[in-house]
Amino acid sequence: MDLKRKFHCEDNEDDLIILNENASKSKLAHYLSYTERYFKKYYKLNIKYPNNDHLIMMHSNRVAVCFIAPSHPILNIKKYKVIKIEYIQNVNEEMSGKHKHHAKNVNANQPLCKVYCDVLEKEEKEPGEKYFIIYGCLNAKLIEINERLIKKPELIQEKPHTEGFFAILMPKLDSISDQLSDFLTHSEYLNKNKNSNDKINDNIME
Amino acid sequence: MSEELIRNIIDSLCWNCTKRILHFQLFTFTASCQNTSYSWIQKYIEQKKISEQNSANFKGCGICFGLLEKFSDQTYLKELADQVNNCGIQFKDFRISLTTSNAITLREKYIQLLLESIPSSEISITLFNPKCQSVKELWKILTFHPLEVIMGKPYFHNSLFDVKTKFTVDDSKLDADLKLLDTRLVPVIEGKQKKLTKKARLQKEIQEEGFTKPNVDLLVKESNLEKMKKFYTLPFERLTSSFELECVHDPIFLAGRYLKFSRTLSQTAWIIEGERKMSTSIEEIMGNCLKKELGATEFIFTSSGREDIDVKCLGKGRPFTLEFMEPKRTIFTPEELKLFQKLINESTSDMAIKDLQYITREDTKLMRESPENKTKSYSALCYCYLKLDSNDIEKLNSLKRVDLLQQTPIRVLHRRTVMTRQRYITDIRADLIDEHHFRIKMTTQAGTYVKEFVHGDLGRTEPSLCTILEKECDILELDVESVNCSFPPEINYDD
Repeated sequence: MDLKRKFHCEDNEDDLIILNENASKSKLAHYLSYTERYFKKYYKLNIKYPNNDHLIMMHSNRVAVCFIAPSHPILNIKKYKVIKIEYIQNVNEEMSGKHKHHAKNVNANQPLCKVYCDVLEKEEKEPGEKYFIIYGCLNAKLIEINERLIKKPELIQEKPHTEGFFAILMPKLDSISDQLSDFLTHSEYLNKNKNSNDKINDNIME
Repeated sequence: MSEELIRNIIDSLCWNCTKRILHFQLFTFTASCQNTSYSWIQKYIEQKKISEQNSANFKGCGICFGLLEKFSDQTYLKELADQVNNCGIQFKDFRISLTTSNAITLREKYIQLLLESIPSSEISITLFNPKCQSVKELWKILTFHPLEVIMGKPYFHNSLFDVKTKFTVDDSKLDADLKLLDTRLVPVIEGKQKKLTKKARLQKEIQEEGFTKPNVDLLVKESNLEKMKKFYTLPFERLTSSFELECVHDPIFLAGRYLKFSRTLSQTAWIIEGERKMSTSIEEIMGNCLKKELGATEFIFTSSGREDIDVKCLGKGRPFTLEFMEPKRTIFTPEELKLFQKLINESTSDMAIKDLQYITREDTKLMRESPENKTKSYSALCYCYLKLDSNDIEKLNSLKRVDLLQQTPIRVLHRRTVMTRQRYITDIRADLIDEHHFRIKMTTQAGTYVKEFVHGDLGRTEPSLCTILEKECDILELDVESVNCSFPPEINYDD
């Protein structure tokens, strides 16, 4: 197969162009994944308390999906095991139509949910259970919470950047650029972490 | 008193209106008539008949404004037929629509009331013809057959070709009528007035001014003879209206199927915030070409579903219909349709059309009907991050039917309702290409999001190929193999 998928990650382009490149012989690793193709990543670090790092994936149609960043402590699977998730915000059931009338508005600083973890490697005086609070990071309409996480909370650790998303948000179109201005872009995030923690970096590259 | 009134009435009318409005007994002479109270009317009518019947010297009419006189005469009809034949629009049959001043209705009502007010002690029969036809009806009866003969085309009341005739009288001649119209009693809507819809508001505005039908109907309903007498003076001035003609052909429809060979050509014009994203589209390529050929002013493209810009549409193709407004060319031979098809297919290599055919408005419903029952066949080139073996492919091939629960995909979430849709996929056939690539062919229910079935859309489509294979998959290419819909029927143009 001499196919190569090219993806323009410019702001307004999400068209996929498939090029025949006879030159490329190796078959692996040049396809962008689903999330890389359609989404742009934005990071917000240390929300409310240290290391509470969040990742917002912004689809080209301006629908935002909320994740935890690779540097978030939950992803240290040697230390933590997720046992339960408890949503603080829920989708308004009266939300209707393509314009999402009556959708619940959430504030950037409002907690979305609590993730309860068992602490596997206890330090001194540390309790056996700990919870992390996940925030929405955007002023937006709450469109969807991930109900699969309630049944399978382990997805948060197993697939933190695909199926382990926390919520889908729709920020107001005209406020997006303002809201994203204090987020880190993907490359800024990589640079910042390169010095502090090489291990996490490896995580991201996977 | 009555004698002057009746003479005045007869003086206001043309010969055809006299025959139409007055009772038929007045036109039959028998010996017994000599002594009746209305024999003088018969004599008066007889004089009128001699001077006006079949006369080329048109005087006009106080009621029909010349419609039943000058405008139903042979010489006029010849002129009309010539204009219609030379309008440049193809037609096989025609219908006539007629616009006249509604003052006709008003005046006719007045004459009727006057005639009915004459006491039977003076004249022993009812003067008003109980079977009086309206001006419009009679004009159509008088003209449609001569027109058929002159034009050599049949009249058909459901015809798509409309001969629009418009007869107007200068408002200054209708001064009395307008003043009378102003006295109408406008009904007051009681109770709390609801916010009017756009259409209702528009209707109300129309109702407020001029000789509109609702306005005139209001007055006719009142039927107040005393009031009418104040405004009208007899005899009416005998007027001839001016005449306008417009020929319009109703929209016509062409149907067919299109094929799309490009992954950079969109189905319809893609405009975001007023800015074009792509230089052209399937809709525009064929619409503009056919619009030019047909001499139409506008076109509307409808298709049975749509595919993404990066998806090819192959095989039997996707059904579409095109509606053309005010076309000049309306009759097509199979050769001409084949030529149109060739013209489009030769103009581009990105797409093609087939089975181009003429359809009626009723046929367009066939395409919209039962879209839920339609199925589509797809072929997808997929990629797997882990190595695949024949067991995986067998697993896919053993699936008879997959029932999906699809949450609205994120890529369309901004413009679609949030909901979970139930869809099914059948006839799955997978072929391994190499360790990481495979091609899967399947038939899906209409409305299935196929791309999401492959990559799972963050787990929001369940099951997906990822969950079935328990390996991460992604989609590289997608082709529509066929849209399984029996409309439009296939046509062999014998290429």
